[in-house]
Amino acid sequence: MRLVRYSNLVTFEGDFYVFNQMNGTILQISYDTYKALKNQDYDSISEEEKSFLANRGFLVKDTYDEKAILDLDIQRISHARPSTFSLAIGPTMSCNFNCFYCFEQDFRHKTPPWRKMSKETADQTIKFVQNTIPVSTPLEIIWYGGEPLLAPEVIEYLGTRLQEVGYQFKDNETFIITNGYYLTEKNVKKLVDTVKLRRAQVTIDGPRNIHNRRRPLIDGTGTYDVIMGNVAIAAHYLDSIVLKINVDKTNVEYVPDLLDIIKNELPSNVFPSVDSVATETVENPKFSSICFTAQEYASVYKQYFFLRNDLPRPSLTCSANTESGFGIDDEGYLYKCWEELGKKSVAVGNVWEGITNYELYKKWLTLDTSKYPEKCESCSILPLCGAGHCPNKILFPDHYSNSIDCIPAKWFLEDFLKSYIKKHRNSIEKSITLQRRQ
Amino acid sequence: MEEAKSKLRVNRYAHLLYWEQNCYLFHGESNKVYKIPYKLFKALKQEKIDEIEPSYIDILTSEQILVPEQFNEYEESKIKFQKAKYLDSSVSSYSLTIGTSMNCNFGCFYCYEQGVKEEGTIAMPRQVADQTLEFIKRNVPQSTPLKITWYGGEPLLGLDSILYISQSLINLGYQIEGGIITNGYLLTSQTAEQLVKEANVHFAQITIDGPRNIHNKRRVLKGGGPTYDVIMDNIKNASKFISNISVRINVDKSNRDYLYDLLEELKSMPSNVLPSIAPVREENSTFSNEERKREILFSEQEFAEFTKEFLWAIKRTTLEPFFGCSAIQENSYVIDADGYLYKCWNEIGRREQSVGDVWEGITNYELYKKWLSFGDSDFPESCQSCSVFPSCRGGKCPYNILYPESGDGHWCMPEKFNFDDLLIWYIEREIPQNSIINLDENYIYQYNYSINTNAVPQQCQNYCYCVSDKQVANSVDNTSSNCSNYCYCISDKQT
Amino acid sequence: MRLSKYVHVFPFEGYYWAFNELNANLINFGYSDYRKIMNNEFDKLSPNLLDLMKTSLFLVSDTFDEDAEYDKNIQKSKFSNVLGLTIGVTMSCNFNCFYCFEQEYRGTGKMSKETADQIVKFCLSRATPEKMLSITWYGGEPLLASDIIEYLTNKFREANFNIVGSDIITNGYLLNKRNAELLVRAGVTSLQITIDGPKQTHDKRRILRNGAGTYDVIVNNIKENAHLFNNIQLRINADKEIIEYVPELLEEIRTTFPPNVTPYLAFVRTESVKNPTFGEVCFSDKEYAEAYLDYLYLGTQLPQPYYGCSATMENGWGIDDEGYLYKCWEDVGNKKHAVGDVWNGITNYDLYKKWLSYSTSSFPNKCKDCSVKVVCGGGKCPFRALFPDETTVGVLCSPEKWYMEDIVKYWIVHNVIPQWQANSNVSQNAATQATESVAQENQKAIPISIDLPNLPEKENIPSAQGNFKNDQGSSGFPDQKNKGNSLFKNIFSRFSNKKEDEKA
Repeated sequence: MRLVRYSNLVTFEGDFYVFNQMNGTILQISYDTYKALKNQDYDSISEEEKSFLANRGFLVKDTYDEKAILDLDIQRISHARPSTFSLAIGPTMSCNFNCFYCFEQDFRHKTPPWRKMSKETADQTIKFVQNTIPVSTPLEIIWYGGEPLLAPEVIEYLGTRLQEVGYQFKDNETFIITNGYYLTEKNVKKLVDTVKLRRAQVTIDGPRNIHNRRRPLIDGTGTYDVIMGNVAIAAHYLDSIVLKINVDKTNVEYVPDLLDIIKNELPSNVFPSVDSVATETVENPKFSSICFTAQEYASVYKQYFFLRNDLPRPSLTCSANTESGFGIDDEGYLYKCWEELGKKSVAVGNVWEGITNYELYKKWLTLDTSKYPEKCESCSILPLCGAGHCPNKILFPDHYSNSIDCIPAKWFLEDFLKSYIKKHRNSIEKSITLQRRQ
Repeated sequence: MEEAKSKLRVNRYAHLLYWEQNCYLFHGESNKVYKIPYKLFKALKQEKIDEIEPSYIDILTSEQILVPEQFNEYEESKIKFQKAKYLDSSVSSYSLTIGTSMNCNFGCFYCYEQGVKEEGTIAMPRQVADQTLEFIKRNVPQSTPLKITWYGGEPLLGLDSILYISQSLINLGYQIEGGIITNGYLLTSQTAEQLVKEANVHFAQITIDGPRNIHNKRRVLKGGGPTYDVIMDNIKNASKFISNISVRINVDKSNRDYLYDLLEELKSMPSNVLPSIAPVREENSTFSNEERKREILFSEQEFAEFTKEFLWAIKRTTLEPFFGCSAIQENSYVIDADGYLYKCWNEIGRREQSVGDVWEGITNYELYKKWLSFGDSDFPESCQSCSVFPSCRGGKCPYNILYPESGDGHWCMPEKFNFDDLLIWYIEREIPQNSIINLDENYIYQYNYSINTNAVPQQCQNYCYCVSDKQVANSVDNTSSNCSNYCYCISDKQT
Repeated sequence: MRLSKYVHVFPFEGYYWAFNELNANLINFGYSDYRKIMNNEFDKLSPNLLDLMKTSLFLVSDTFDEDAEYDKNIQKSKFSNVLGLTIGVTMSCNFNCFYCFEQEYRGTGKMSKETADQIVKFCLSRATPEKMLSITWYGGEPLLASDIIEYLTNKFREANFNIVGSDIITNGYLLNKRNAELLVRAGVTSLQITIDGPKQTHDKRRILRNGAGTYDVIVNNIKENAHLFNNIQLRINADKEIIEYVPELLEEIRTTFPPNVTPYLAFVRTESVKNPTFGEVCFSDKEYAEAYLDYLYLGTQLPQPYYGCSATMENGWGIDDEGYLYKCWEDVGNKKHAVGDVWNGITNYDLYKKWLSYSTSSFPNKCKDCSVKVVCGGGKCPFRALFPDETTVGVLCSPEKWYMEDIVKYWIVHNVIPQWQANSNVSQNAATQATESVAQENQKAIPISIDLPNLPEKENIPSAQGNFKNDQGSSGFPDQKNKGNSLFKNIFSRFSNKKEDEKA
């Protein structure tokens, strides 16, 4: 019996903890146990403690093959009978913005009149869903695009029809990713009522001047005031709004300003979230100099970790790697990966014919750890990162110019754990010997 | 005078911290913590004084967060240091450290009393005790609270004197409060009870240097012999009587790896027993050779590294301004078992460093003055530009500054290298949350309102008089009618 | 063991007395004890006396360093919780006295509101948490800017300062009813007004700018308004010309004014007048000492150790009408000696620290072996000790140098002997016991007739309060609690504090 490979022993202010990356659990242990695990002196641990730890997945057989288990997990996720089905639907691939780092630049329609999903396509989409997904399966719907709120009527139509034919939404909600320009009170109210819109993600890239330079309308006009105004009101109708902040070297110093503005001017159910403009999404080499490297970004992430303060979780895959997720664009093409919405060359099918490119489709379901890049082989945080947890990049490396980015935990896992421990000290489960001591 | 208005700048001792979306300012000199809006934080951090909201300027200058260009923080701080010496000590208590034995039953290798305690007086003789009482009677008014720290050598070797002196003082009408620094070996239940009841001892510091086998290699009886179990037992028992027990852990590189083991053991102690870690310093202790010394003792940097992990357990982790220890204050003495007086604990037993004795009082004024005048030119050069000077003041130990040759000189406070972490700790754990001053708009409004309302005198005097000594006018319309000199109007109408 | 350096032993009225400069303590004993002390036979003294003498530092160890003890107390006195301000609200003056030391920097303006506001801000940044403030209104002639006095006082009050003392130094000409009431509202409780002799001499010296006399107006003002205040000190600048008229003036004062108007003599000394022709009428050290003796009765206390003045205190400030900061009042207005200003704070740290460095090592060479060093303190004027080059003759010796014993004897006559006479029906203990009760009960009735001069009925000059300019006495500052070792003061508090005068 031994300690599972992907685990971390942490000490914080005189207390000792062990964290299991494989299942994302953390346990407080006694110093003796800590020492024993650290020195691999398993005999000195009591039987009771050992079985407690084994139960939680911390102690495993000597022959345990972590990588294999991870593969099995991936497999399981891929092929599991779906408990939900996720659909990322782009009611339009048009967008009224002109952000320089947009990864959809090549296939976005930029000028009005906006190209929206036609009624026929919409109806056909409903039919496709009826053919593919049992009506009892809850649907996880993400309104996507382009800019989905350019076509709110399509959203309304699709969402209503889906409910009419008997489908339920997972957690009784749908989710929208939008630039926020048309997140007007009218739209929000409508969508809340008709398609159970509860949460939204809106991007703001900094205080007014910064944001307006980065995320202007197509004609260059600034969008900050409109968006902030919309968010302030929309937050009253929605459960929560995540304000995503895409940072690179040119706007990272303004993040505190923006956080301050959010704290003072927006309701408390608006949560900021810092993310990086990945070098990948910007194919223009001119921009790659302003993007953070993975390591640089890790420091930024660490700085703003307190905004989430969650326990790192194993993250091996996404819905693209399952049989229960599709992206659908405005013309009815089907995709596995959302980021490819509109890029018809990599569509796996369409709503009339269903899957047409079986080879491609199958390839999506073949993710396993052996496909990870070499550098991941010996990485100590493999389960948390999952080689970037982007099956697209792992399975189709030739689609991308850059190599896979490591996640911040690679450098700062211990800090994240300590930060979590500090906030949740009293609610972390104690090992059996510790419990006995109380 | 308009042109003389100088620029303002940020006080060097004001520390800015951005932590979890809150912006704090810690003023090292006044020990105040403020929460400030982000805009102000940015302006201060970038030293862009012009960008500070005008409504904030008044309070920032009166709190000396913003200071005039020529303000000399260092000089002002040193003056405050000296002021505190007198204004604090003149009203509060008298502090005595009495060594009731200059001998010891232990033989720890790092002891800084090496050379004095091996052959020293085992227990304070009765005449010395009596003379000490005379000394106290002569110098301390009965109304002044008296703080006595029992010391040595090992004070419990002179337990009789502790009880005798304490009882005598109580009978004379003094209010005494006792503390004891002991190796704990002789601190039986009975003794602990006696100390509490007869000497009003409320605090004990007992040293344990690690888990059993480590401790027993370091803190041995004279002539060899383990001490761990006896001490641990004694601590457990004594904690029932003595309200505050500090388990001091002297760390160096040879026992640092076992620190957690000991801390785990201590977790099972009652809650009035708390660990406190301090580095073994070279003060007056001797090592066989330089190499061995470096192997064992922390250097200044090494200890600073060490504190990062053990910030939470190190004694004196505090940011409060350091106003000197009792050695530099008037109302405090160290008395050894033979009746000699010293200013500093480190000096005890070294006659050449004594400032006098309990018969004659101060006899070595030179030495005495040296201690009492500490605080202006004594500080090391590097303090001049240091931003944590108020909390540190050259390492919080005047002895190390005055007598660098006795050891490895002065150390900067270790947290200096890790200041933000210490600040976070201080704000989150040490200070009461309601002591943080929230400089939000409301506060500023109230503040400005209270100092800037236009002061119009209650009753207009209608009264002016003339500088060239014409008759005093009695009403406002009678001013300076035929006079070329100007008049002054008491109610602030135009001259 | 030995007798302490600054102890003066002398016989008087059948006893031997010992006076200790270090703490202003006074004891007496009989001849046999005196002999023992002189022969260093301290162990033969009675245990009580021995103990007393040791505790009160009459007897000290051989290595005792009296100067160090004195320095220690000087150092302590530099710090207090009270911010002491001398504010020159205007540097202009309606008088034209020839001996004025501010002649060269008399101005014409008065303090602006902005400056006044800034003073408050300066004080806020330097105040201790208790925010105690003590103000002396100054100038020039402060009543020329009485509106500023009122304005500034109100600003201080609004800023929640606790004004523990407020007084004013004025020529008195403008102390009419309205100004007096203004001062009362501003919390001023005592005044210093100068009268230079009876009318005929005063009106030749203290004149208006047009030459007119001022005596009548001043006297009238005082008569009418003195009752509004705690007390008015009448300063009399005596030089060789005036001195012969002083008794006349004192009598006039006694009969004309209410009892809270008390005179004191200041002697114009060589320095305060820069005009060489006037040097002739000024007193030299010794002459001053003699004159001082004659008027001792005006205010009796035992000579006190001199610890410095507000200029040597960390938070004592002079401020002129333009907002410049000074340490010494006499510098106020003389911008060359400014240590800073109320906008910039201290700008000349060297000068500021020099003031704060006052100690026995600032005293000139001639003080080195002086037996009255502690009560004189380098001439009772740190300015002269610290900056001798800026004076013509440097440090001026105090009267105690020649007349220490006489001064103490005077005090004994006025404060001890009357007690003895009052207790004459109580049986007496041998004086050799010299215990605490020596002044209280058990005194020998002394059948001595002493020619005691006519004592004035009124109260002695109160211990110098605020920052009164006072050539002779130690300047008091409000927080003067820690002169010397407080323990010892308790024993002889009866001697050291002034009690009511007993008539002869």
